[in-house]
Amino acid sequence: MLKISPQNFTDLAKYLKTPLGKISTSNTLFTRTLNNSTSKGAMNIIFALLKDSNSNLRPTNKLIEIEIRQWLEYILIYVGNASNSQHTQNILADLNDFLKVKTYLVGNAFTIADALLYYVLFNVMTNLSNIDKEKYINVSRWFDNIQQDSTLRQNYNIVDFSTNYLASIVPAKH
Amino acid sequence: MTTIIGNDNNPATLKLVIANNFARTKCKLDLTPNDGKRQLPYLVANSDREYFIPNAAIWYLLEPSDEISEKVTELLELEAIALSPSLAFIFGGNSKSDKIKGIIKSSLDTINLEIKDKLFLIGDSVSIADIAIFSTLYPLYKSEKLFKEYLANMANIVQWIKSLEEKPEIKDALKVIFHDKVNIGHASYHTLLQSSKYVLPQDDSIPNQIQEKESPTHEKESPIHISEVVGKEELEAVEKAWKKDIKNLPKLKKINNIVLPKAGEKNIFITSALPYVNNVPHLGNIIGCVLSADVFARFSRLCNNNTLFICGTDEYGTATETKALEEGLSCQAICDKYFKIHKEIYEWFNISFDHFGRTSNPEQTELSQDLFLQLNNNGFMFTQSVEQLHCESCDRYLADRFVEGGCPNIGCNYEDARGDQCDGCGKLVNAIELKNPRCKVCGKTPVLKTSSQFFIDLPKLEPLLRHWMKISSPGWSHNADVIAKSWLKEGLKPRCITRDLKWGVPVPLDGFRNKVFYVWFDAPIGYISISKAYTKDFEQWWRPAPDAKVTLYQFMAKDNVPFHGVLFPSMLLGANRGYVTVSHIMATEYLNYEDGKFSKSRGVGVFGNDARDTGIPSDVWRFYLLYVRPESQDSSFSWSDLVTKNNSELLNNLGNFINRALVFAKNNFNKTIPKMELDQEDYNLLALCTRELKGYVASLEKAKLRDGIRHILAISKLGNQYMQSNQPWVKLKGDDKEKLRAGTVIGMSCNIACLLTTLLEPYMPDTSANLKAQLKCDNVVLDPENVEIINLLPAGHQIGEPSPLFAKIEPSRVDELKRRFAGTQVERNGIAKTAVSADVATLEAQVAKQADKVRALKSSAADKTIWQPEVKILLDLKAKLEAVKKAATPAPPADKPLVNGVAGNGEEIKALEAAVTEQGLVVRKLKEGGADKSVWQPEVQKLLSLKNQLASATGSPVQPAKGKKSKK
Repeated sequence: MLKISPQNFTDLAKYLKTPLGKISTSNTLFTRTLNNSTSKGAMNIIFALLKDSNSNLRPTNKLIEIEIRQWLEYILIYVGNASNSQHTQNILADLNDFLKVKTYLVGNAFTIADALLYYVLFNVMTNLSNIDKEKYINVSRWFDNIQQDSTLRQNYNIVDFSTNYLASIVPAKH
Repeated sequence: MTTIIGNDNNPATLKLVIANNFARTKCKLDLTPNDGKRQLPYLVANSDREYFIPNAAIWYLLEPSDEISEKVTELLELEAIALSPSLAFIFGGNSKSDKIKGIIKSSLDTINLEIKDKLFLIGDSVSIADIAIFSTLYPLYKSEKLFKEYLANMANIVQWIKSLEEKPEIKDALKVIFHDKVNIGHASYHTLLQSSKYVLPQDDSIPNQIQEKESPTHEKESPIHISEVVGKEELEAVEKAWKKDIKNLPKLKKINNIVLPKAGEKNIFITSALPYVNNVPHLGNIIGCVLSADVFARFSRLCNNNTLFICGTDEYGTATETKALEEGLSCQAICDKYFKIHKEIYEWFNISFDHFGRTSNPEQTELSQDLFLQLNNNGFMFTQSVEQLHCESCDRYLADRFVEGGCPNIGCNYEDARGDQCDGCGKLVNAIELKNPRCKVCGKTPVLKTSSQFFIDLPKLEPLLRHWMKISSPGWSHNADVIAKSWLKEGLKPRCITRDLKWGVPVPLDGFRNKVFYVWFDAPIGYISISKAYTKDFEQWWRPAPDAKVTLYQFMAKDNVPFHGVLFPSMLLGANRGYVTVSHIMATEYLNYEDGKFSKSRGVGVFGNDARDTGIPSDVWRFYLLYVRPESQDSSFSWSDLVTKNNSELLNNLGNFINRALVFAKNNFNKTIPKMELDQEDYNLLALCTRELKGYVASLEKAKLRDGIRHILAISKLGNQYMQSNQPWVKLKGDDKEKLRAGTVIGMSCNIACLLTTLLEPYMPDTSANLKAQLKCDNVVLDPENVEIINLLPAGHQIGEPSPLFAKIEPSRVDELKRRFAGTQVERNGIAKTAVSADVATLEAQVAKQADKVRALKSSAADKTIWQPEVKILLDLKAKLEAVKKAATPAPPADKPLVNGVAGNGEEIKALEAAVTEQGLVVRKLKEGGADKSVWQPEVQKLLSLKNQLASATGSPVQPAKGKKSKK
């Protein structure tokens, strides 16, 4: 059930400016091979990329790390498996609820979990109607904030949320 | 204080409890959370930090050392993405995907290899990898059947589980979670699936999977949780019920002509929101009100309640006037036309109205005026002058939609803004602020006039309403409650209830007689007037005697809640005549079409008449719409899902079970229910079915129609499993004892089929009737106070000829249907045909009438100046008729051959039409010329035969050239 695509790892590696190596898939886990060392499972791959990159995104303490694990697993088994509009709406509703009082997924700073979720959600957010953008206003706010980083965004387009800022003046008709 | 919040019987909760025992953190344990909406389990750590992913929670409780952390991560991920959801879907849900089964097997292989010759997965002590995988596999290990299938040749795993099981930390945790229950296999995974709200990925390579069941939304709603353990008392009760004599059962009431409430009985009054008459209803409208109300009404009748179910079309108001202008018909003609369309569609859907009326009936006028006067006398009305645009040349006040002009919003230069909203900038507009306003009808500039209107003084009624709502609203659906309360929160304002329009109920007071009631005021009174049209004793329903209490249920979509939850009750309370007010507002959310919205005004989606044209039986439509009924949140209609549900649920589950049972009875027992000797397994099955039956009755009593249908399917699923595990086809070939067993199994299955017949009645009346004929049985009375399964078909009962109940819909039809119903109604000519042909009929009638008038004028030798304008009107009408007819005769849809098999093409028809016209002229000339009958008779024959040809070419039985007969 590998719904997170290898492209997501390519994007992350590019963002972290570190070589990705070779990603292969058995029918259960992703495997990364680079210079005779292998990482098994998406989480290990992501932690390995972080380690290789020496990026300042490496978790600063154990509690932060556990929360990152929690979100990575959430993205893997819930977000990644949402395959019809109903599922997607549920996921967006859950996230919207969570992000009500949060700027980033974990703690008070950007983490690799935000980066992965950005890549995974990109298509969904691009195709979201204006009304839904307003409905999931917290997800929109989070996404709009995250996408401002051009290194993260790479070749992806900016998703337009401008109608949301008009929403307080003229609410969209639901 | 750290708290574990979880639930019994859930392997994921087990993980947390074991980790807690090993870590000796002494977390508080809460296994009875109230909030049913959350994923379970979760962990609340000291600093308000929450972990809702179990593996993250155990990582927090029992953090692995850095050296092993990578390996732990890998195994936890294997458990989290491959093992746990797969087990939940296969054993806890009803997925039969071979791919997922494959994933389970290969994950088990991997683990079996990892643990080879070791005591623990990593290193030499228990890590959270052991805990997670052990917990997830434990129910599999404990189920005899599943063990055989999956773990029999996984010696290493079995060894490992055995040794872990004995550890005191684990032993204790198992006791906490499973309470020493033995057969915990499927039930635990079912709990896991429900609690985790796993999302089953859609994958083309997974055939026949049933996604609905697994998607988290349904899990939230579904109350179905059945563990397979049946207690002794339950079994005794089931056995006692089964042995009751069928002859002592209460009989269903015969419904006399008119249903009236009776003292000491349950009297249920059901209304469905009155559909507005200006268009054909779409599937969203149908499921939102009439269909939902119908299921409930049928169920109520099965419970032997005195049940009255009424509905009708809502006909007055601006929208009708607009539509009338658009189609060039009178308001009455529009209403007649659409009333007929509505009625036909509901008939096709088998909606069992006791009466389907309309609000343009005389009772409506009488009752609206009466209620208005009563409210006025009671001091709940006042007048106030209102500024409105008035068009001098049309001599009428313009409703907002009848004015156009420049958008008054700053920055928008849109010239054609409507009086209510600007399509240019999307903002709301106040009609009197439009720049250069103009009348939509004549284009002249309207002038601002003040006119006096009646207002209902809702603030005065508010205390009464608040008091009433406190009592009534607990019986409403959640969304209705929320919407109505939000209205009260804002505080009620006076509402204008009269309008300067023509099409409506006139205000019965001097000085106001040229005004009518605003549609929202008179529409709900329609419920009363339609009841009156049904029976002269309608007051027994609306103002019942104290001992014949009436309970009113109103079904609608959520946009109608303010009218039924606030305005109409205010009116009834204000009248102070002891009217029945609603006890149960049952509001649905919206049904979307594929991924967009249904739209009546834009014609997007599937409409009532389209449903019929697909050739899919109305029962299948009913089933699917109820299956996806937007009960607590919006849901979507999708063609592929419709086809999947038909094939997987109806055909493979329900239809398969019933048909198999009946065919066995026919082929092996000569259409007779065989002798049955029930053993433990049979009573067990009856107990499980009784649970589902109880769930069914409880759901339907609360009008949770979606859940009801799932209980039906669960019963037939149990039936299928029962048959599969007993294999009567094998036993039939055995010795006498085995033959008896086979007979028992078939007899039981037929009995369950008979039970299903009744349960299906509210949802699929045709199927239920069909099945009744096959089983030669009747509906049984459902008694919500005493739900039990009785031996409905005793041994020796003769059944009829079995035949399949459902047909397969080829998945290839999905694309075809999607294409056919893409775009808007207007774009799909072929589909619009039914509506247009009604146009043709009305236009033809108008042409004929106008022609008569012209003829009369001409023959009265009136001056040309008098009849000339009339002739012009006639010509215009004819031109319109031509245009409409052209639109009405498109190439027929490819999959529908013409009635008489003559393929008509456009050119042929045109040629024929021309010939008909020409011949018509010849005949007329001859007749006018005073020729003898013998001369013109053959020409008339020719004309008629031409017309017949034309009729067969267009495939329509209407006489296409009728209008042309009249003189020019």
